Order: sequence, then structure tokens, then C-alpha cells
Amino acid sequence: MTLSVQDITVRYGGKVAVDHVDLEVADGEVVAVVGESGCGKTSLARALAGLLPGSAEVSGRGVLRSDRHPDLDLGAVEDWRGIRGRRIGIVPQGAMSGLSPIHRVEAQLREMLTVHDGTAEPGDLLERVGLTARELHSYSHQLSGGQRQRVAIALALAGDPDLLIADEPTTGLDAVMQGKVLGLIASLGISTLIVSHDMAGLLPYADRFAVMYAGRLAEVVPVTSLHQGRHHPYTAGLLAATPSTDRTVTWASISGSAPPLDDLPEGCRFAPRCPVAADECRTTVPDLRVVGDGAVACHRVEVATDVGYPAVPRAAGTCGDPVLTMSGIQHTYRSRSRTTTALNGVDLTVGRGEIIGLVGESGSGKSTLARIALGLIRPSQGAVTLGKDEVTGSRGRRLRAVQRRVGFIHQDPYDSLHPGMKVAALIAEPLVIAKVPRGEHDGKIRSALAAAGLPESLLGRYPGQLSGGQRQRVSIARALVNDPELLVADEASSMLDVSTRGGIATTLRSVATERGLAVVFVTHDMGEAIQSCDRIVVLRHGRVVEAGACGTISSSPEHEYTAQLLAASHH
Amino acid sequence: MSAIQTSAPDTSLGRPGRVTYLGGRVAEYVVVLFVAVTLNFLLPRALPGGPLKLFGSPEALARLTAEERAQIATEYGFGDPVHVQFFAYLRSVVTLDLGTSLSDGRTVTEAIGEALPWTLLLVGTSIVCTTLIGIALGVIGGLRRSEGKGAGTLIGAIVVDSIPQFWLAMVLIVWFGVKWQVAPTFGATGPDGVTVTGLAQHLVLPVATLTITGIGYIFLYTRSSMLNVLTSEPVQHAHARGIPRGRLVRRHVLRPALLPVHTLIMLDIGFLAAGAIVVETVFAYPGLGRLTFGAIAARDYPLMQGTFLVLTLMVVLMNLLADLTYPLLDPRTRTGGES
Repeated sequence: MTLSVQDITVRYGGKVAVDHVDLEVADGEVVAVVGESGCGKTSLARALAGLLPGSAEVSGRGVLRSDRHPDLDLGAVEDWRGIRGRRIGIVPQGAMSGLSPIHRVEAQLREMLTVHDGTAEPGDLLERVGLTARELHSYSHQLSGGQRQRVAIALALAGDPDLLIADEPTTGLDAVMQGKVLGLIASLGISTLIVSHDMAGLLPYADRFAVMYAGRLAEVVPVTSLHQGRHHPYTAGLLAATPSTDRTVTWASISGSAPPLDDLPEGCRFAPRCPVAADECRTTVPDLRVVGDGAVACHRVEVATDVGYPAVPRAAGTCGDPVLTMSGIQHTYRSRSRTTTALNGVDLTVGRGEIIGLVGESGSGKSTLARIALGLIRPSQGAVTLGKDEVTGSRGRRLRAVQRRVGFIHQDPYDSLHPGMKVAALIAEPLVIAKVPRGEHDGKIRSALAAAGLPESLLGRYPGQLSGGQRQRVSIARALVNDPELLVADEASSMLDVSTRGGIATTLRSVATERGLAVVFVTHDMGEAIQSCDRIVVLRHGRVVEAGACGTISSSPEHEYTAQLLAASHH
Repeated sequence: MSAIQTSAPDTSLGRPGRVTYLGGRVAEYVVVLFVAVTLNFLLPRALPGGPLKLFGSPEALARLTAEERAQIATEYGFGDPVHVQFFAYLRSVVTLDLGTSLSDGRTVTEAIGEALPWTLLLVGTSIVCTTLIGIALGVIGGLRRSEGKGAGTLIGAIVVDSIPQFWLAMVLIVWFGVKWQVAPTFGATGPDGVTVTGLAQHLVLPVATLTITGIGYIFLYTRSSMLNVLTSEPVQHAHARGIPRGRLVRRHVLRPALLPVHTLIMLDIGFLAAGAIVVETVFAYPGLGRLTFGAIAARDYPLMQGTFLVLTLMVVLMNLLADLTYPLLDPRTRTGGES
């Protein structure tokens, strides 16, 4: 047993972020701590490495064992020097921007080797993470996201640690790269604790899962018995909420969101969102007890075999006249020294009531295409028409009039809502800009709010008081308020917890059907596109490599690249 | 200004790319310089009053007949149309023959040549002092702030930063020069000509004034830059990887934190190298600043154009230098390094 901790509790002031958690990592085992944002998983990992801010109080016992070093009592550590990097290797969250910008990779590796008395050579460390001597002499900004993540892992390996802690090691990477990086971590043979929100993505790589909810352990389960036996409804929900690339598997969402730490429900904390909760769940805290090969903290685990979360609806199958027509779109970005062809002859039509999935990895041109559809970028060549009006030929007032008929949902619900405006004012803004008479505002705002699935009680709140899912729904309401014909959603769910993504997709489907909207849904997640769209257009290097109905693409992709994307998102 | 940039091929690795880059930057600055030089020509002429109004004493001026005025104007070229004056001026800039000062009869080049070494001595010394003290305090302030201390130093720095130069200069003169008589208050040399001690003594008060009034914002800038870098992801990550604090500060914090300070100081040098007008005037220091002040007071067009030209040249030159040295400090701005 490499790591064994009992009763870890982390408090920030009066708020309990981690509540009496026990955790073990066996020699060479990969344990994944999973859950939605705010469930305490990062606090737990940081507590184990002594990385919490001074305002946090940590209590509990923990021992780190190895055959090369004496046992380390983690609860008694005063000075973390010589422990972090040497006994515990850390791969911090956000390696994309976490490497030193001013030192070459080699210098960074050498520094870690010097500081932690490592015996390896920088080149060997890079080889271990699948990089070459070319990367050795590079600076961080010259590396791709996947390469940076590998360097971060190599840095953590420099001190030859007994335990590796990786916090969200795949954030910001595309599906193909996510699999490669997780595969690398799992292949190192070191006892590893991975913290992640993406449970399904870890299935092929983790040995055991610790599912956390609202600071407590909901379930600890080996991956081998995850698809059989009885589990916590939350575990089942997390798995069902991950969109499968197989269209015969339904996609579900867990309603609501995790409770704030200062307003935790009594009894089982998951009860308010649980479809099978009983009276007992709302009064008594369930203990973690052995169920099969694992342990589950649930009163209802006997009845929780088929939980029944709300499924994301499929298309009705009818779509009307084309709303958006893009033909022969070509676009080239020019800068001082280079020209980049972002799009090279793309055709796209979206009809009334239809959701088109625009799929591709970063750099495929999908965001450029979305911006052209919005009239924000004038393409180098090609024509865009919205209804009967040409977007590409319009300028000034005429262009703005056309643009008002398009709603836009931004990727980042945290940055796209002004923090100083209340929800009502945020949603009203398109009406103010379009000079819609004041008297009509109220009705339109309420109708948009209902369509986006938000209660009217939120109108007086500030974005800071809302959860990520609620914020994104405010964005949807804002996009809908002026009755657009076309909705462009740019990676609208990529920054949300997996549990809420299905809810957003459900909302988009219902507005497409009920309001006859044409929707362009930009995403890098093949599963999400297959589950929620009518047709899929796969972009690569600015060209359409495949386009067709979701079912067809899911079951029999024609292009090799589509098959590759499907394989990468296959769970 | 990309129009004057010759386009480099996509694979601009190594020498050709670097040469194109340097060439492009220099070409940009030539354009900037031309615009600035043009402004230098126009600005003095936008001042109310002309050189004739201050030609000699007012009484002498009043006695001049219209004919005599016209003759003087022709002699100095003031009567010519503006564009003719402008081309004459451009020619003089290129040939460095900047004409003759209206107020003391020396050539402008001569006047500037005499004043420049004094300014470089004064300003050079104070820049070194300001930079060293300001950065050292800023680094300490930033580190202390990150530990939750040092609010007092911040208030102190804001107070020091708001002290007006002329006021501090006069306070120093009154106390150190007049009351305690420990330092000379006037000129650059003593009665026995140029001696090392004499030069140093005469530098004390002006350098003290420039340093004290200059430290504040370098301190504030360094401190906030330190705080930014201390909380940045690369530094947080290095901490998580177990890099000890001392090493963390030396290797991971200092260089990125001093990048913006480097630019600031370069621009500062550019401005100050053309003379510290207030300090040189108060201490009667014979540098470019006092020369400029005198030229403006006398509406001495040629001399004004000359000193402004030096200011422009210095600012543009230091900008260029800051631009060209920045990539040495920050690898992200190096060209030809794309993967």
C-alpha cells in the first residue's frame, strides 16, 4: 500500500470542503477521484501535497509508504521540502500555461533533477513520456498542448516519486490527446492519484474510482465491477451523463447542480437530485458500506439498479426550409509573416428546427466557420445567406439588422456574462440594442427565460450567484430573447460539468423544435454531437471530410478521420 | 506599419528571418522619427509670440522699423513660406547643421555638444541609483506583500511618488545647501575647474532629487509585477513541484517580473537623456534641460528645434533598444522559433 489516508477533513472558515474521507492507493495502482466541480476532489488532492492556502484547516491521518524511504506520516509534516517532488510528484492542473515560459525544457528538467537529487538524464525523462530530443531544446510556447502536458509529467517524474498526483491532467486537450496522455500516466507503473471530472474518459486507464459528492465519498469501486452489481445513483448518473458515440445508448443528465458548501442538505447530500431518494435519505446520513468489491454510501443502493435519469430527446425527424446557407466558404488569415488557410471550400445548410453538429479538433476551422455564420468575419471567398438576405454582401446597418436575427451562445459562461449586470438586464440587452419597445421587453424576457429552463426567481440575481449550468442557460435566454432564426452555440457545454451537458442539449433541442430555430452546434466531442444533433459535419484542416445523419456517421463512418474521432470518444 | 515590412517566408528560421525582423523594426522607427521630427518643426511655431518679439530688449525691439524687422526675418528665414522653412529644416537635420542660436550666437550643434556630457553625467548617475534602489525595494515589497505584509511601504511609496521635483529640490537646497552647507547648490563644477571631488559634490543634490522622485513609480511597478508573477501559473506549478522558495524567486520570478520594468526604464532613459528640465534649471546645472528651458523662454527656434531633436532621437532610440533587447530576455518574443 503506497498511500493510506483516513478521516481527511478540509475546512475553509466554516465551510467543509472535504468531509472525513478515507482513501487508499495500492502499489502501482491508478486511483481516480471523480465528481462534479465543487465536490472537494481538488481540495483533497492539494491537502495530500500540503498545497492548500493558509486559510484552510486540514485534519486526518495519512501514511505514505515505500520500500525505498521510511514511512511518512502526512499528518505530521511541517515542512514539505523534500516531500513534494521527491516523495510525491505533482502534475498540477492547467499544464497548458504552467511550464516556465523563459526556460528551455531541458533547463526545467535539470532544475528538478538538481533540486530533488534525481539520477536520470533529461533526455531519458522525455523519452519516458514519449517525447524526443527536439522537445528538449524547445520553450514551452513552441510545444503543443499534449507535449506540454507530457513535459509536466516528465518534471513530476524527475525526483522519482513514490506517488504521483495528477490534477485534471487532460483539461484543454482534444479527445485523441486526452486518451494518449491518460494512457501514458497509466503505463508509468507508479502509484497514481488522478483527479478528474471526466469519469467516463478514465474508464480504460484507472484501476479504481473514488466518487465524491459535496465533500463526501459516495462510492469507491474497482473499474472491473463498475458495469455490474449495484452502485450509487450518482455514479450511475455520471456515467449515463457522458454522451456515447453509440446512438442506441441514451444520453441522460442529472438535474440540478451540486449544493454550495455553506448550504448543504441534511441526510444524503445527493438526495435532492436523486431520482430514487426516499424519506430516509433526507434525514439520515448514509455510511459507506461494503457492496460487492467496493463501498457505497447510499440507503437505496438495493433499488438503485435502474435509476432513470431524464434522457436527452432525439430529433422529431422533420426539418423545414433552409435558414442558413453557406457555400464555397474559403477563409485565409494573414499576419506579418504568414498566411493560414482556416477554411477551404466549405458548404453548409441548416434548416428550420434542425441542429447541425460542427465537429473537429482545435485548428480545424470550426470556430472560424461559426464566426462567419455570425457575420463577425467576412470570408475571403464564398457566400452566406440567412433566410433571403445575404450576410456576406451586407455592411453597416444592413449587416447589423441581419446579425440581430442570429443568437449566439459563447463557450465560456463565466466570462461572457457581465458580472455587474443582473440576469434581467443581461437578457434584455439584445432587445435594447434592437430598439424593441420597452413594453414588449417583459413578455419576451419571461418567454426566453422559460425556454432556457430557468425559474423567474433568478431575474434579480447577479451571474456570480449562479452555477455554471445556470449561467449558460442565461446565455441561451439572451440568445433567444429577440426571436432569432438561427442559433450558433460555440462549444456551449464544453466548460460545464458532464452532469449538466445533457440538460443544455435538451434545452437546445426543445427550442429548435418549438421555435423552429436552426441551430449550429460547434463541439469537439463526437459523442455529444451524435447524441444531440440531426446531422454532423466533420471538419479537418478547413475542409469538410464527412457530413451526414448522426446515426449513419455513428454506425458506419466513411472517412478514416471520423472513425478516429469516434474511437477517441468511445467510452 | 506592416506595409514597409518585407514579407518573410513561413519557415523563417535563423538568419534571414532575424535580419528581416531587425530591418522591419528599424524601418518602423525611421517612420516614427520622421513624424516626430516634423512635429518638432511645427510645435515651436505653434507657441504664441515669435522670435522677433524677444529679439534683444523690448525697448530695442520697439525702436526697430518695419524695414529692419523684415531684414532680420529674411536673414533668419522666418519670412519664407512654411514649406520652404520645413525643407531647410529637414536638410539641416540630415546634415546636423542645425543653424545658429538666436540668443547667444553659438551654433546649435556647439551648444548641444557642450551641454550633452553634463546631462549624461547627471542623468546617468541618477538612473543607476533610481533603478537599483527602486527595483531592490520593489522586489522586497512584492515578496513581503505575498506574505501579507508591507502595506506601510506601499503608502510610503505613493507619498514619495507624489513629491513634486521642484519642491524637493528647493527643500534640499534650503537644508543641505544653505542651512548645513554640506553640498553645493549651483552649477556643475567648483571654482577650481573640473575635479573629481568637485563633480561628485555638485552631483549630490540634483541626483538625490531625481532619484527620490524617480524611485516611487519604479518601486510600484516592480512590486505589482512581482505580485503578478508570484501568483502566475508557472510559479504556482514550480512551487507544487517542490522548488524551494529561494530558488523559485531567483529563477522563476525575477526575470519575468522585471520584463515590464525593463521597458519602463528604457523609456525613462530616453526622456531623461534629453535633460532633466526642472532639476537642471533649479540647480543651474549646465545640461540639455537648462538649455531647452532657456531656448523656450527666448523663443529661440533653432535651439529649440535642436534640443527637441535630441529628445526625439533619444526617446526613439531607447524605444528601439527596448524592442530589440526584449527578445533576449523573453524567449516568447523571439522570431523564427515557431514549432
